[in-house]
Amino acid sequence: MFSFTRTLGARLSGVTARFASTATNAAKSTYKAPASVAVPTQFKPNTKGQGLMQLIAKEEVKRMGADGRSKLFNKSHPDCLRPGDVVLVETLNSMSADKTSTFVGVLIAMDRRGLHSNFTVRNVVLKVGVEMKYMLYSPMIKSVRIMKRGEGFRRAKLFYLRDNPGRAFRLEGLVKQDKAAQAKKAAKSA
Amino acid sequence: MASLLSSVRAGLRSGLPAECRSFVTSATQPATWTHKSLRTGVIARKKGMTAMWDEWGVRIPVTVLQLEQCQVVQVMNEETHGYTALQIGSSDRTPKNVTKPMLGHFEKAGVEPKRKIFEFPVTVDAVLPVGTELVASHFVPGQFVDCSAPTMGKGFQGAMKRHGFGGQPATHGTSLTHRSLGSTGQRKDPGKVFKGKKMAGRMGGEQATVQSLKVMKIDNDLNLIYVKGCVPGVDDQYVKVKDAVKKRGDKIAPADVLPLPFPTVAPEAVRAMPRELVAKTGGSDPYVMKE
Repeated sequence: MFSFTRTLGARLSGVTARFASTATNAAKSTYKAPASVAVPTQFKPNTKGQGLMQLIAKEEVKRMGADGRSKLFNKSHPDCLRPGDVVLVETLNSMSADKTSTFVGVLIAMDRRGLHSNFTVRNVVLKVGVEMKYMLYSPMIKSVRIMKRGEGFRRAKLFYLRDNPGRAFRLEGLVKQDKAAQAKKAAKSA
Repeated sequence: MASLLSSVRAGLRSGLPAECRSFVTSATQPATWTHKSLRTGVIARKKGMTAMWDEWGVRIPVTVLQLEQCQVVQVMNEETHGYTALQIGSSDRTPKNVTKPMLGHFEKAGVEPKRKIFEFPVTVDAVLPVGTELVASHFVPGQFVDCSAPTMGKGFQGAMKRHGFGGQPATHGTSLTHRSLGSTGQRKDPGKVFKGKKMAGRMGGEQATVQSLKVMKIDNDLNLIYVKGCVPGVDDQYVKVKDAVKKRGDKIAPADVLPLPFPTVAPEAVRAMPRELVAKTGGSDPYVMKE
């Protein structure tokens, strides 16, 4: 009676339908995006073995972390950040100009949340404690440089430094040293 | 209808892509949008939330909506039904779990049985043939949409949470009555509590519409729409998405993406597009001080 079958064929939607023919690829190159639309770096989606949200989060991390900033949060990488390191974060003031702001401080917290990974840097500036929280994959972050590796910090979160800083925030000498080293490098390369 | 279905299936066996069936077998001419036209909406599933950064470096929270086998199941017309609308179905379902009346309904349309059916009122020029598949590119990046879905259930809630009542003071002698309703009426006149008096009760699980959400991104391969902000309901909820009613005419989308694909996007246009398209926020850089 109801001889309904599920063989109504390939759909317009779905990965296979779009990557099916070479004619598709030829047609793709003729697309011209209007001014209000941006075409980001394209990836081929692989939905096997993971849910949709995991897939798109991974792709966005690949896209935003194309400059290699993921290594800062990768424990198995030698350049990984660790709580207690003294870091220098350079951020763009705006996307339309090249001017940057710099903040130096002790890394007191790292939160691994995939695309929303963030870290907190603390310093004492003109006798006032200042904490800056940065989103790792934000396009406003230009660079994160480790000025000195932390030693003797045995916690993942160093919030106790707010009350018991000890000598942790005596960073002027380090900043001077680093500036001199950078100037030497620039002179050498010039 | 049986002959139509068999001819479609014959066409499939010969290699004609199924997505063309609605455009090949019907005699509709591509319609032109007028300011009185009303396009159909779609049924999408709320998949979750994430964030993205726009061209100015501003972080934007987005909700991911996925279209799952969204097709036109029935066309309501003026002569037979007294109004013009499209009945849209979403999410295929195994026939063994579908009642016989519904199986017949879907077989008449020549579509697979669907889980969710909603109607979208449209104007006569926006009518689509039965079986047309609606995809994410029905919406364009930068346009505004309204999303309707049942809200998250909150269970039995008191008046303070349910209606925003103020409650009573925490101290100064108030006894055992900190979150209660207070008075429910007057005295002998009227001598009763009016119907519809706001009281404690079940909260949530009702339809809510969030208006004028901006479409930030379209994914053509996975059939995703990323809208800026929040959408009512839980994950995997069925959400009705349609063009924003409060942004008519030229305000619905930036000028260079207008007119919107009408009555829906053509398969050739979708194939020509790259997989992902992102809307630019536009305007001036928010991090630069205006003189």
